[in-house]
Amino acid sequence: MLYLVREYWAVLIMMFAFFYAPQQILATELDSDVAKVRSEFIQPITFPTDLDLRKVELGHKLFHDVRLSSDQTISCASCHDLNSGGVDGIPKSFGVGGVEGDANSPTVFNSGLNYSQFWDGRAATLEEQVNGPINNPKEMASSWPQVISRLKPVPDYISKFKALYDDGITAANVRDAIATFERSLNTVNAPFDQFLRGDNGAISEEEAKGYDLFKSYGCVACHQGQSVGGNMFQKFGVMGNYFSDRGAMNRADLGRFNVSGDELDRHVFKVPSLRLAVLTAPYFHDGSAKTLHDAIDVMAKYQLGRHISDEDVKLIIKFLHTLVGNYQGKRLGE
Amino acid sequence: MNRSRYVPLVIILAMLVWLGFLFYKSQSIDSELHTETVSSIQNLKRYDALLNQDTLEVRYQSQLNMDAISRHTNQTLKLLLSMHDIFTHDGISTGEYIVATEKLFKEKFRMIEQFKSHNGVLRNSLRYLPRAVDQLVSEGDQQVSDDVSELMEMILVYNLSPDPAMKSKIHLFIGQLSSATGGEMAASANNIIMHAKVVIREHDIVSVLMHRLLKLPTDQAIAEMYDEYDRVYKLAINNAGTYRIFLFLFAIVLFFYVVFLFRKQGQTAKELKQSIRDLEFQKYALDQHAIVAITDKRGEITYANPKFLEISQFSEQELVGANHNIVNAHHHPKTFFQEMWRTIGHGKVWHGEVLNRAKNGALYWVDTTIVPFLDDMGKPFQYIAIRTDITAQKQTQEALKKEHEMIERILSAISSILIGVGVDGKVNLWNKAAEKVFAINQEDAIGRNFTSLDMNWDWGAVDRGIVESRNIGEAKLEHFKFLRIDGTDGFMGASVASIYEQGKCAGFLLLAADITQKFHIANQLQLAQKMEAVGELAAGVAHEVNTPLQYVGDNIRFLRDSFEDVQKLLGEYRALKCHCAEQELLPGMIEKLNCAEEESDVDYLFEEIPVAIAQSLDGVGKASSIVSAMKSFSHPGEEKVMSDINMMIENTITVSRHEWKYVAEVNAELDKTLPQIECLPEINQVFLNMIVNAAHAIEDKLNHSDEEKGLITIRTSHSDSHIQIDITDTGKGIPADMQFKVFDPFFTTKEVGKGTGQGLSISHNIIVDKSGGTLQLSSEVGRGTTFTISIPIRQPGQKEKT
Repeated sequence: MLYLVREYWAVLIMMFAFFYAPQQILATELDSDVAKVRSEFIQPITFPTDLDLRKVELGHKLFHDVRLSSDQTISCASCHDLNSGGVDGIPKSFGVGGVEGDANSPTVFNSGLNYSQFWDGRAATLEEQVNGPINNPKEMASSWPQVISRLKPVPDYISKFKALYDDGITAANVRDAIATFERSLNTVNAPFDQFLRGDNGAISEEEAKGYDLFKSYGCVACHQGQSVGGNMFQKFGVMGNYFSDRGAMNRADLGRFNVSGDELDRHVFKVPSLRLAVLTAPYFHDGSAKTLHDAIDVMAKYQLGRHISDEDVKLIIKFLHTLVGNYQGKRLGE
Repeated sequence: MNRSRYVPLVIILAMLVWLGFLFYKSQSIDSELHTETVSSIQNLKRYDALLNQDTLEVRYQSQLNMDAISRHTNQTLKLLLSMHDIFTHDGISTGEYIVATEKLFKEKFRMIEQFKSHNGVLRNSLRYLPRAVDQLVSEGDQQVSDDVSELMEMILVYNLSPDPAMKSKIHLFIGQLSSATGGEMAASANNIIMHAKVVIREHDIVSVLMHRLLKLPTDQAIAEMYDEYDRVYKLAINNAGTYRIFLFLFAIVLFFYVVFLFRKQGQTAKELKQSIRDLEFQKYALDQHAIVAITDKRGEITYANPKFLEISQFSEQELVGANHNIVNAHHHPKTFFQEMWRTIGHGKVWHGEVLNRAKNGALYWVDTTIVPFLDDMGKPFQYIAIRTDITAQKQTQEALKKEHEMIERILSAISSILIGVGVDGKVNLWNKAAEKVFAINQEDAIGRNFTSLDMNWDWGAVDRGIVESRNIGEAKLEHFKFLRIDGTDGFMGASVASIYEQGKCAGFLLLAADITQKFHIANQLQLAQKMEAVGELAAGVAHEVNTPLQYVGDNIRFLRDSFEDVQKLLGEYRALKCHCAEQELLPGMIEKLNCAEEESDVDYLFEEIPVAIAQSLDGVGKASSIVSAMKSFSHPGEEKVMSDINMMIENTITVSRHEWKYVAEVNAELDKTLPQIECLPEINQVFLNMIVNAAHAIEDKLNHSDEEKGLITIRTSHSDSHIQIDITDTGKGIPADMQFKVFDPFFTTKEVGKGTGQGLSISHNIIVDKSGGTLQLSSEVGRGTTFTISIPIRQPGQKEKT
């Protein structure tokens, strides 16, 4: 008789399952407002709280892995050295076989805060950005199949990818890991951020004055937000023709035009973040400005349409120093 | 396998599949997806509004930086990407709507981007203008200061309330100003004018961009998309509702079917219980009768019934779990069990007789049937072995077999032919002797019709015997002729016995033997006896005849002598008469005397009487000699006596005279110096046979030619050790291919009834076997035959007489 009882159970469960519809509670997540800070053009950098630290660790490893380049000589870190402000300090980076690239390497720090990636904003996300250097013949000159085939035999990667991703080592997962790592590269708690959060003593008077100048000269019209830039595009040469003055135009100089093909986008570039400006010389997409002073001069002339006195420039530079935050508890550049 | 057992299962399975289908259809509205879709549309709407709000706030400086607008742009973009997947998924007709919406949003993003850039430039110039004007004012030149201040005010007013009139006014003012200014102040003033122009230009651009941006019908696109989605959704809800009703109805049907199945199952269970009871009863019955063991597929015993325990003497604990070969007696070859495993391994029933060993070593035979139990795949998963103790049966069988074998051995050992024939006339017994005598193998004979077998015998006699046996139960066939396998004639003695089984004739048994030899011996014996009798009779007769012959002879001789005296006397009388006549004395008397003389023919008497007496004497003499020969010829006796061969030959010639006298002359060339030898009196027979044969051979030849008489020559001679007798005839001769057979018993070339075919055989026996001599023949067809007899002078073992 036992099996009969069992079958009655089965029928009950069956019927119960048919007529019971689980009620789902709808939850919509809305972005919450940032903490109350000074109402300023510039906002303090926050550290993302939703990162999987294992992915960050894996991304860190991949970021420093030369297997990503065709001749296995170059890693991401080759041009984005975390020990020198996330850049290589030269006007234009060298790819595999010593080939010179088209543009100056922007810093990888705070890149997660960027509205889009590359000088011309051709990548909307960090994940998309990773494709660029991998496939660029003047950079890593590799391809995803090649990269994956090189990563697959590495036991450490096998286990780590296996633990994090269902499908193991794939291009998408490599991109995800690297992008996650890059999102962890936010420089937090800069003196200026402390000032913004209400600590008046966090910056000196001169530095405060520099900030005033930064605002009053109109720099802040473009260089604003958490990253002090990075969240919009602007034409290089609003008040003058920078490129005809500089000469020797190349394709990279066309800027966002290369992406949209829109005449209005000719010479339009992403406004770079100034957070680590004091650490990331040379400047501009062409690396033409050797010093910050030069860069400010060029900016004043072509973007602001005025002259800024040396004294003011120095004060502005002093202010720019307060923008450098900490990475892994250590202030960059120290 | 009972197929009908699976029918409810298949029905339930099909119903479940159908149920699953209905359920899937009724649930085709994924509430989670629906929520996600609706919320994503709402979110998009919200982001659209946020972007508009951000634009306005940025424009009017309510937001000091672009972080919010940038973030919202990115979030909207991300939302659109995820929505794209949702809306183009599942073939919902909202695909084109999302594409249209995406297109509008892309335009909006682009406008925002441009707005941000131009707004930045505008903001820079607006921020810089007051500062530049202040600086210029502080540097002096009231006129220029006033002008640029006025320009600045106009610009700021325009910025707040853009008015085309104001714009043209500003342009006009800038035109005047740029032509008026110069010198030291010119650079600063021009810079201000440039920024003023920038403000006017950028303000217009920013205004247009913002206007177009806010006017973009994104909300409308979102609304349309939502409406379409809602329409599709409601349709799906309706469908799902219909399916749900079906599902409900079907569930009821299924429920009733299941209830029906349970009821049926209940009934089946009852029946099952009944059949289990029946089975248990059957098992009980089986256990009472048979030795039962159940093993798993490897042969490990899982069940052993009491009878098994009893016969094997193992306990249940010892048997269960043990391999079944625990009772293996190792009597059967390995292949026997391999064959068994192969059979049952294929799911077939195996049947056989197995010798097993009990725990105490006792052997027992079991008649075994192993039935494999098959699983659903048709593979055996256990075996049930049902056995019956047949040890006693087996022993009886064994004894019977032994007995049978012994009978077989006896049958094949006995020299007699043994043939069994069933009532149907088919041979069922054919022993070795029969095989040998008839040269027919047992295999060929058994089962064949008796009368169809190729046996060269007197079928008439055999048939008579069979018929007789049928009538009176048994028949004896003393002897009948048959052809022996060597081609010679033989005699067979047989007895036929009818076999009765349960009172009915079940065929007959023929027991026969080749009695040729026996028959031959009997014949010889008979002949010898006959000869002996004749001999005795002849001797007796000879003796009786001899005595009268004796005195007849004596009397005749007396008569002869007397007659001579009478003759002499009569001569004297005649001389007296003559004298008287001459003298003429007593003429009357003389006359009377002459008459008497004439009357009695005295002269004739005187002439003939001596002749008659002589002939009588001769006849008596002959008769005496015949009687004497007969006496010696018929002298019986087994003992060897000193004999004069020459005399024996002469006697024989005399005795056999009537056999040859008409066909041949006998010429006896006898060696006068032939020594007497010790021999059997029987040897007479040999000479007789030889002479008779010779006479017959000549007679045969004479019948076929015109010769008058043949010649038989008998010659005796001797050497130191042997005497030799040659008997030569001029008969028809013996062909070469028959010469070696002539000494065989019963061999004869004579016509039926003329000879027994035993003569030469007996002669051979007497000369060779009994006298140690040799008997040879040389013959030429048409010319004649010579038999040469050689007999040793001294018989073996006989001492030489000195």
